[in-house]
Amino acid sequence: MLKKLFSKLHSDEVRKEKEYEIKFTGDIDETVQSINNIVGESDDIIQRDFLIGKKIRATLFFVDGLCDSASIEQDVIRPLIYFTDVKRYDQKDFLTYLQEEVVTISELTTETSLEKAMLPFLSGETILIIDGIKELILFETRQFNERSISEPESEIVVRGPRDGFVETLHTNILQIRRRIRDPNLTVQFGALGRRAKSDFALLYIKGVTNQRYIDEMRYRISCVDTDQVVETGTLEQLIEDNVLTVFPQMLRTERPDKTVAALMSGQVVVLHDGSPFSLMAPITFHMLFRSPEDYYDRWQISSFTRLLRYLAAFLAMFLPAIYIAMVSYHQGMLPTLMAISIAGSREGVPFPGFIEAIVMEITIELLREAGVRLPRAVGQTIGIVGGLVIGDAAVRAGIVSPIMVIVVALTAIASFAIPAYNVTIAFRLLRFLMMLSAATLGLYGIVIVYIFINIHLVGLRSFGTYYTSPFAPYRYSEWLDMFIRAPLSLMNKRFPELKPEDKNKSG
Amino acid sequence: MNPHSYQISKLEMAITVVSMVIGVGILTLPRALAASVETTDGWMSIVLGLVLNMVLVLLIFRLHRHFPGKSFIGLWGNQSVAKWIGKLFSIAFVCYFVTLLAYEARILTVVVRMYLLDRTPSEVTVLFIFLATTYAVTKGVQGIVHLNLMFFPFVVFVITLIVIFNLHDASFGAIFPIAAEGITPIIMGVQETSLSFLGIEILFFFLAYMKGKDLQATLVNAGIAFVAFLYLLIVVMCYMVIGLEVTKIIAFPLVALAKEVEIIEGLVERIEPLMITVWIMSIFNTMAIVHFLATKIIKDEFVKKARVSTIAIVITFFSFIITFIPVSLQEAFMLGDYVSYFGLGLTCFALLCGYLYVFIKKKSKQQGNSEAM
Repeated sequence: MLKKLFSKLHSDEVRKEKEYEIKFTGDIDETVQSINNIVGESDDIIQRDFLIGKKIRATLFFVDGLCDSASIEQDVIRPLIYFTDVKRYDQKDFLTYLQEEVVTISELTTETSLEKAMLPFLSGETILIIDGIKELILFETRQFNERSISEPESEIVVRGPRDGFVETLHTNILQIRRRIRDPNLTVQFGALGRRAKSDFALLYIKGVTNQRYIDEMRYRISCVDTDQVVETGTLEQLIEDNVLTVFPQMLRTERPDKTVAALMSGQVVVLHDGSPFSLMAPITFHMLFRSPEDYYDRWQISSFTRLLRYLAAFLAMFLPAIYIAMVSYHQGMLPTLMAISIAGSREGVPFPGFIEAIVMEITIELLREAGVRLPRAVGQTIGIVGGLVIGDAAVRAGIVSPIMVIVVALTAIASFAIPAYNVTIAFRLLRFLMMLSAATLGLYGIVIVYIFINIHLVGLRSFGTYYTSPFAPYRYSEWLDMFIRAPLSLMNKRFPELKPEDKNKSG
Repeated sequence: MNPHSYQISKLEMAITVVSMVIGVGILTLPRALAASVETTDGWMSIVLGLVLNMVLVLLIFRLHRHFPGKSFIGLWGNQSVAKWIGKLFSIAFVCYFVTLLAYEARILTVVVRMYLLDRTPSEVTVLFIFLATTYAVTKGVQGIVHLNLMFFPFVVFVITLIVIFNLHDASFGAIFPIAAEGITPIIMGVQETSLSFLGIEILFFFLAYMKGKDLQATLVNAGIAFVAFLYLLIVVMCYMVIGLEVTKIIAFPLVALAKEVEIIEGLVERIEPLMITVWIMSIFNTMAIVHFLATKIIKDEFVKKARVSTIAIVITFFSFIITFIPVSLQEAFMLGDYVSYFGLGLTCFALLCGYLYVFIKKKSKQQGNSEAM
């Protein structure tokens, strides 16, 4: 049934762009009229009529603001108006002559169809129409206003480069190019969205990245058929393997150094104009725990922080559930003194452990969401109000026990210790499922849900690679870069699960 | 991306067999051994049982080297008589697997009820583990094998933990004198231990997913030797820590052994719920493999058109009923014994028939060749 629906959507005749399929007769009035028919209603489209060498009629079209008007004036209009050799006009190679000897702009193309000229025109190129010539001339006059390069706010490292991606595609590619001067680094452009037609770039290193992933990525992106893709996040959802999962199947980052590392390890990278996030694929579960910093610090330090992150993931997912299971089902597991102290602190709390935990967890999720939305100055206050005042007041009012506050606080801190924000959300969601199962079936419920998550993970793929590798299937060489990060001199192989065409990265 | 292109490597095969073999048996083995041997020489029976099973594994591998890429059912081909023998075997194996699944589920509920959830109805615990295995079956052979790889380290870790933390309580004198009553009790024990290695029969089906040149028994045998080592450790520890006489009467000596563990005074009072939790993963592995194989045989041999999930659910239904047929724990253990004997018998009989088939085929081929000449 869905298939039928999709095919119906695709056959939608409205989307076809027949109105652009116009053949030029060479009559300038007619051409100008047809361009005006398409874009004339917009006030920011500027039409500039002038005479070449005081004789030949010509018209320029450009979009105000997208173009460098100084360049148009200096390199296009001025040479054409002061042009004197009007006799050449009657000869056949007049257009080539203009291109080669008159106009001084660095880049220009000619186009015979208005349809093809529309996209470059709307992204900032200037159209020149000359009376009697059946071709359009397009001048590269694009100019950007962009945010300056700054430190990415969502991924802060102590040791490492401070630059981050910006919203302009070309600046981002530049940042990568500056780091990899390999001629095999390939950058391919394309347009996304039926209406928006925003630019994206596909990056990979020839001879390292497996051709299968490049083809697969290209295929999936070309299958995207939607009006507009605003962000790489949207693109990610449209091309991922499995929609019914909380686990990300592509990594995103604002950091050029992380992107470069991904390229070097044989992943495909997608950049999108208008988004400071790059997409990297394929990935495995254990890559979610890696931060670029791991490779800049000495290996003992990095290994320690890696282990901490796995512990953090464990706590973020299991701690409230284990607390609930302990206080509701398995009091006997705790040492007597601790059991007594927990029981003492829970005295007077009117709710069972589950209600207590869920109330506090929801409170902390609310605080986090509010903290993100608020202006930075107020955000700090919310932290203090929420953390101290509500926590303390709730304990004093006897709604929750002090131990519960510790559990919730520890869980919240642990969930911030994972380097990628979107991964944290996955663990946060699963935590609620865990709590529910712990409340109904205790430890048995926890282990059953854990088994369910594992079954789900072994079935998950990221662009056809096993998500749980290097653990299942075993890939020993990558174990050096999993729970611990071995000395760099030992890690001389690329991750075999990515099936790189060049298997060695050093020595 | 194509599930049929998935191939099991040698190590993955070994770990799958290990995960299959470590199941319910590990909980009850010390008691069964203590009861049948009646001396502390049970560990020698384990070694003998291991040797017996290693030979079986070797024979299975040898048999399958004649039919690379085919399961035991598949190797019978499509000729009239052979085809029906194959069908009979598949029925026998399905019955065996479904009953085994039910038995494992039953012991699981007993253990969970005894040590984790004393008020939750058994039906609920069984239902959830069956839900999990049914879901696992839908992930196919790759999913099942990878799940084994994921849970294997946990199981080994917990068993090692139990052994290490019991060392200070162990009285090494308890296992002496060796062979005080001669060899006879040890031989009696082999009957018990050879059953505890049951699980190798899954090789009949999983070897179909291995490359022809990978069909070597060494790693799988190393795997079951590893299991034997774990069994040995646990049995000896049981005798040394809780004593032979007590071991005889406790239903689950391994859990009792875990009870003795005291980790750093005051951190965790009782470790056995934790141990049970990890053991649930191990028993889940066993159940998932069995459930998967039963589903696979039915789909391949009887109802090719049905969906895997439908078959898995139907199997769950039957297993669920069988699970609650035994009324008491005693009867459940008896059911376990019957299932094990049936499994061992089936394995041996299947091997016999398999080799006979190979022999006849060779003969007829030779005849065919000589006639052609």
